[in-house]
Amino acid sequence: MNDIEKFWSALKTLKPDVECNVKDNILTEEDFNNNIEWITGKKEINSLDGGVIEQSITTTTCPYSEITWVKISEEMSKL
Amino acid sequence: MPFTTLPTSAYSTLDATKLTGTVASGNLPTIPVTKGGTGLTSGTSGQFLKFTGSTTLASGKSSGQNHTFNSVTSKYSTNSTSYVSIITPTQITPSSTSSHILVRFYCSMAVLSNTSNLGHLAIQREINGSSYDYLYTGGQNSSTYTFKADGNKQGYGLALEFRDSPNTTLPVRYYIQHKTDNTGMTMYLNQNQGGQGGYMFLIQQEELA
Repeated sequence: MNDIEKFWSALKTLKPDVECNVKDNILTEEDFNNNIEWITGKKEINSLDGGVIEQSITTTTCPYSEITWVKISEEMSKL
Repeated sequence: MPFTTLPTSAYSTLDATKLTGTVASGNLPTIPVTKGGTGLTSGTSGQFLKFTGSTTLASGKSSGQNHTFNSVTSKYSTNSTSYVSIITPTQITPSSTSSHILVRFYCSMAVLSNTSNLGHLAIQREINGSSYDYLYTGGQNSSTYTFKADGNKQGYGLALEFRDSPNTTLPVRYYIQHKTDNTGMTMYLNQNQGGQGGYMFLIQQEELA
């Protein structure tokens, strides 16, 4: 299992329903703090094809107390 | 004895081969397009002449001369079930409201799925940093492109091209966004399932109408 797979596996172990957008590998606390967009909501944007499309509302500050860099790194080290 | 004005009687018999010297530019007319001229007194360095009407010319950029190019080696992955952007492209400013913008996007990608569900891409247009619309979202689950997980977990190449007519001369850019059908999936852009990646290229090019 490579590094990015380990991150996703660890994340889904801690909180299976969490949604995020990740840039590059998450190998350090700095990566955890800067390279993850946590999905906190959705907003509707018009489509020129008609209807509306859901776009993510994001934050780089992890909003979940059960997910920390320490817990993620612990889970990743088990893999 | 010099004279300042030719007598009218001399016009019909004037021998042009006897004329010498330089005519001051202020005494020269601007030759219109209808007489084989340009109708112009100046242009813009590096640009070409183009017809702006049946009898008018102006300097302008050639098709493709106005373009932006972004390349990154960053890799992205998501399990978001709503669209989220990857790179932020440089803005391109159309020279005319009738201009078209051709967008090209290239990278490697992979989809890992726990089910038969799909990964999706969509295109979002931003005008002047404040007005947003999605384009071409008539595909599966409101997408422009849809991708099924590869059973062998291998990445494959993605080449995406589309044309838009933004009808503005304000700065425009096109975001590539991705999402998955459910949070148990993971969609990878600019990398395969093994985590190996390369370059992601995005080109926005103006085509003059």
